[in-house]
Parts: sequence; C-alpha cells; structure tokens
Amino acid sequence: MSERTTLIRGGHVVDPSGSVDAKLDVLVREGRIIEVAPKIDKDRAQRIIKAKGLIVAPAFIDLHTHLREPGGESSETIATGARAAAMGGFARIFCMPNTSPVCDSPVAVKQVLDRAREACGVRVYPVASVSRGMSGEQLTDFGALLRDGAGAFSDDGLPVANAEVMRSALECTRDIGAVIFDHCEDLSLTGAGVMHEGEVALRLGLKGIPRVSETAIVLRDCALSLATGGRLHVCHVSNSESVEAVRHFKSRGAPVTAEVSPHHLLFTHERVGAYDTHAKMKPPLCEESDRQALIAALEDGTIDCIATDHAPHAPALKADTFDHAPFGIIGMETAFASLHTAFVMTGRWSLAFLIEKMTAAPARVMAREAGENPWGTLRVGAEADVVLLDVEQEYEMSLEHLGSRSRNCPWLGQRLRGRAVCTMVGGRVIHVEADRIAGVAATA
Amino acid sequence: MPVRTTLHHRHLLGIEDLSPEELNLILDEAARYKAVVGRNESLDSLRGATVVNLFFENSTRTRMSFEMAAKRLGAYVVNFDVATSSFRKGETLLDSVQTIAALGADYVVMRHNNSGAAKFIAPHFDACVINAGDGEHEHPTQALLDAFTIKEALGRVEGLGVSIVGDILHSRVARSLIWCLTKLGARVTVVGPTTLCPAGLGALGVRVSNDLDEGIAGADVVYLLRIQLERQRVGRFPSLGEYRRMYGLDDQRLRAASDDVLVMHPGPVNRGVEITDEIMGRTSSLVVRQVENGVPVRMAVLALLDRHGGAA
Repeated sequence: MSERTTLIRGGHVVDPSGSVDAKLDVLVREGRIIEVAPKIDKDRAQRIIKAKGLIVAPAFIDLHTHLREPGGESSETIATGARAAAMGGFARIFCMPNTSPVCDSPVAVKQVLDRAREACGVRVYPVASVSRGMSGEQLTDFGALLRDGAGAFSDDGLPVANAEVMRSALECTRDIGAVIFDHCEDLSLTGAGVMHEGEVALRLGLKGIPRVSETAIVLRDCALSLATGGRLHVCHVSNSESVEAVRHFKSRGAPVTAEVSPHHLLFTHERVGAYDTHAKMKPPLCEESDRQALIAALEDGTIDCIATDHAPHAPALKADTFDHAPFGIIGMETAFASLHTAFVMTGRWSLAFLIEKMTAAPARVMAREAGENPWGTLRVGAEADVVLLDVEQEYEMSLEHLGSRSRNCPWLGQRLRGRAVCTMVGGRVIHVEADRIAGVAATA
Repeated sequence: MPVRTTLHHRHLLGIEDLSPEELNLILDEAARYKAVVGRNESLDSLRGATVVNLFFENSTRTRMSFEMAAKRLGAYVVNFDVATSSFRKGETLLDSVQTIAALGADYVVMRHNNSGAAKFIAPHFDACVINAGDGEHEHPTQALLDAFTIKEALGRVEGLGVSIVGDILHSRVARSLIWCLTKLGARVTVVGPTTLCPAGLGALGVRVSNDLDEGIAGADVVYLLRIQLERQRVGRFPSLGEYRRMYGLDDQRLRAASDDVLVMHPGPVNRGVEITDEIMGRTSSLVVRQVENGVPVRMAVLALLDRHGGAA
C-alpha cells in the first residue's frame, strides 16, 4: 500500500453510491479516500493524477469471471485475468471454481489467493464449489472455505441437478451468511444443444437449447430460496420467462438477486450469423424480445447488476466448427465500453446508471455497500478503488486493449467509446495508459 | 444451352446461397450430361484436376457417386475416409484441413458431422469446396438430384405440392430440399411429430403439419425421409411401432392423398418403418432413378464451379 498521498485532480466524479455527479477532486492517503471536494490544494499531495476531461468513478466489481487457473493456463491465468480486469476498470472480481482441479477445498482457495497476490493488484475472490468436484452430490465445507477466503459458492456450469442437495446447500449457506451463485440450467433439457432453440438454429442445422432449460431451474431454485431463506444470486439471466420468475419470487420476499451479462443486453441469436463461435455461450443469446426484457429488468431493478461471465478460451479452441468450439467469450475489457457505447451514448441510460450497475449494485448483492470497508464507493474512509474513464474518444477495439491471454472477444474491430485509462486499487495504480495520464506509472 | 456456363461461386456450401437461376443452370447442365453419358461420349472438362473426397463421416453412396462423376469428367480422385482411418488422431479440424490443403487439390468434397463444417473450411482452401453433407445443416447435391428427378418425372417443379415426411429437424437432406424446392416455386409441406418437425420450421417458408393424412392430401410428390435409427435419442418418439402407425406410408393412406402421386426417398430405406413393402415395390424404380441422377448432377456441379474466383 502506498504511503504517499495522491490527488486525482480536475476530473468529473460520478459516484452513484452517494449520488455524486460533479466536478470534484479526490484525495487518497494510505490507500483510502480521505476527501472528495472541489479544488483540493495540490500541495497536500505528493502525486497528482491529472483527470481533466475524464470521469472519476469507483472501480468496477465483477461477480462472474473465469480465470482458468489451475488447469486451463493456455486460455488464462490468474495474472492475465487480473490484467484483463485492471484494463477494464475492475478492482474486485469473483472467479468461478470450474478449474482443474475444482476449487472445492481450503487449499485450492488459498492457492487462488496466493496467485492473485502475485498478480497486478486486482482483488480476487475465489468462488468455491457447492459440491465436491462439482459432482452435485456431497456438499463442500462451506464454513471452512468461507473462513479461508471463498467469496461465494457455485457449481457454475455443472449446476446442482438434485433439488434436495440444492435445498441443503441453501440452508447451510444461510446459516453462515454466504451467497450461492446459481448458473441455472437443466442439462437434461440442454442435451447436445449449442445455441438458442429458434429460427436461426433451425436454419443453421444447429441443435437448440430450449429456453425452459434456464427457466425451469430459475423457478426451482428461487422457490427453494423462498422456502429456506438461503441467499440465491441468479447468474446471467438470459430470457424473458426467467426475468418473470425472478420478479415473482422477489415480490414474494425470497432473498434472491440476479445479474445480466453485457452480451445478453447487446446481442441476440441472430449474432450467430454464419456459425460465429464468438456468439456461442451459455446461456445462449436469445431473441430480441428477451433482450428487451433484460434491459427493462435491469432498469426496474428486477435484475440487480451487471456481471461479465468473462470466459477465456485459447484461440485454437474457438477456431473450430460451432459444435466443437467451447461456450463463452471474454468480457472484462469491453464491459464498460460496449454498454457505454450502446446505452449511454444513445441516451437510454445515464452514465451514473451504468456505473451504478457495475459498482454499488454488485456491492449490494454481496452486502458490502456499507460497514467499515464498503465496496463500490468513493465515500470518505473507503478503500481507494478508483477508475478514470475516458468517455469522449472513440476508438477501434483491438488486441492492444485486451489483457486476457485469449482473444475470444466479439467486439474486436468495432468502434467503441468509453474506456478505463487508469485503474487504482487501494490507492495503488494498477493500470494506466501512459499517453493519457502523464507522469503516473502503474506499480509493479 | 444457357449463355452463362459457370456459376459465380467457387464453392457449393449450401442451396440457401444459390438463386433460382443458378439452380436451373445446374439442372439444365445436368440434363445435358445425362444425355451425353448415355451416348458414352468421352468428357474431359476436369482433365488433370484432382478431386479429394474428404469424408469425416461414412457414406458409401454419396462418395461413390462423386467419384463416378469426377472420373467421368477426367479427374483424378483421391479418397480420404477419415472416419475409418487413423488420419485425424485427435488433431483439430483446422490442422487436418491445412494438411490436406498442403497436399494440393482442385476440388474438395467434404462430409462432416458438424453443421457449418464446409463453410468453416472453405476459406482455408484454394480448391473448390463442395459440401457433401454437414451435420444437420445441408446436403446440397442430394437436393439438386431430387429436384432433377422431380423435373424429369413431372416436367416441372414450379407450382407442385411436395410433402416431406419424417425427421425434418435433424435432416440436412430436408433443409437443402426445402431451400431448393421453394426457390424453384414448389409449395412445400413438412410432416412429422412435433419433436421431429417443430412449428418453428414455418420460418423456412414451409407449411408444417403434424398429421400425415392432412399433410400429404393433394400432394404431387411425397418425399419420405429415412428415420435415422442410429441418430434417434431416447424419447423423440415413443417407439418405431408408434411412428409407423402415425407416420408410416401405406397404400391406403397414399391413395387417399391423391390419385397420381410420386413417392421418393433418399435411401437407404427402412422398409416397414417409413414405407411399406408394397409401395416400395411400386416406387423403387424412382428411388433408383434418384441414385442414377446423382452422377450427372454432381458432374454438372463439378463442371460449373468457378475454380479461379467467384464469391463463396
């Protein structure tokens, strides 16, 4: 942690946690925010970060990423995943346990944390599995895992099929105050499906994934959450019926939250086009009416926050037939840029709304919006997790903007506006575009 | 003879990509080849060229038909039966394809069990790529030979009512045939149980029926698809017996449909499942004609593709 005092000067602060939206300076000392005010005397700081023309916001939080280590290092490592996060403006990221071996033991959790400490400085929260080996049978030691640093629990892509196991998991995690991240999918309904079941799949001769594959499990697990009081967070909601299910159980008082990914807010199954494997993911891209339902649900609060489901796959794996290529795309570097371009530039959302869904909102999902160390805020006393955003300059998304080891990014080559030019975590600059921010180097 | 003697395509990846004019060009050229082959004249439009049959999935009929067609045009033919050889050994499709591209070929005829496989490999070859069946997507030369056979038997395709019966959802033959016949002006109805013939197929420009008698009433052609016993997952329909009772074609149902109906089948036939022995006995000549016509149609495709350019 830097002992120095840093002044972020001349920027426009957007901090939705305190409804701040004004030209303000931010003073950081010993890793914490100590003052946010107009025109702070520059002599009070040893280091000045010139933020004129930039947005100063709380750095982002991503509840859903895959960092692939251990076992999938040819696609991503914790170090490269953390770099991708820093370049995307994220300070805190949760990584899923579907590694090899599965993150289902305190040793595995500690290993992720150790590797994260050696990385660029992004705070990494390992999500441990709900069941041992993600086999859906025997539960993991939730208490021990939580104590040793697990951020949440999930069997992600191999969701718990047995309802009684899921019920027990929700009861056990409720007792210790943990959250289950639920990838909702009935694998028997998905079968060999590779994309949304609909007109495009029929035309391309690709096996469809029926929409009820997601909705059936959203309904089941929200009902279990209501029955048990266990905290359920529904991952990457993708269709309108699932939105309705979440809405219904929230209205009944179930302790349920939900996230949506940028790609489901931006694309539909038409994106598969001529077998574009960068449009292959789970849950699959659905139809325009689903996309509109997701946008409306994020706007009315039914869906709580945005999470990327950053899913790196080495180039050779994605360069295959649609059937063979793995599911998933990377998303941390492009989350803000793609959504800013599509929703803020067009006037549909305010900048504050988008930032809220990537900062204060995920903090609320994890019940970390208040207390001694609140997340996703520039409040005085909070850890100085700050992102400087250039929302003016349009640029072409290219490989130089990727931190990930993989390149499975559908936005490559597209014109975007909005980019993190400097990311600070706990007062430490972990990413900076030198030509934009003069005289500030990222701490090694 | 038409003025244009090549297609403006380097590859034949699917019927969806072709215009009605291009389809007619191929059918007309095929008719010419059929007449010439009958007179035993020698042909040499592919002399010196190499045709590689690259079959990742077994298919004796289609491969032999392409081989005959290529040889009749004077080409060398090399067969890669990847499915039964040790050629692949776990390497990626792209790596396999690059190896074959390096060996050199003028035409690559590919069958693969993944939809979109032909489209995927085409940019990696200098050769013309002909899709001989990709997963559940398309099988363009089958549709062309079927359209050719219909035209030969009934004199036209435009305005005809054609009912395709069976597992439409998983059939590349059905998809290509739907594109081909609708582009040529036929009215197409697809018939089968919802699990194999979902309502969404209407988006392809066809009428969908889940009732055999209703679906074939008044049809000029009934096209029966093979029920792919080896591909059926458990639960798509209760049993073969149930399928036969509901969707199997017999004499009585056929007579009720129309007086003078043509029955076609891409083979191999499951006698007693999708079609009874009696009908098969009466219509087998047409099923054999479909196979026979495969050769001149594939000759036409090989001869018409533009080796030196053209859009995909």
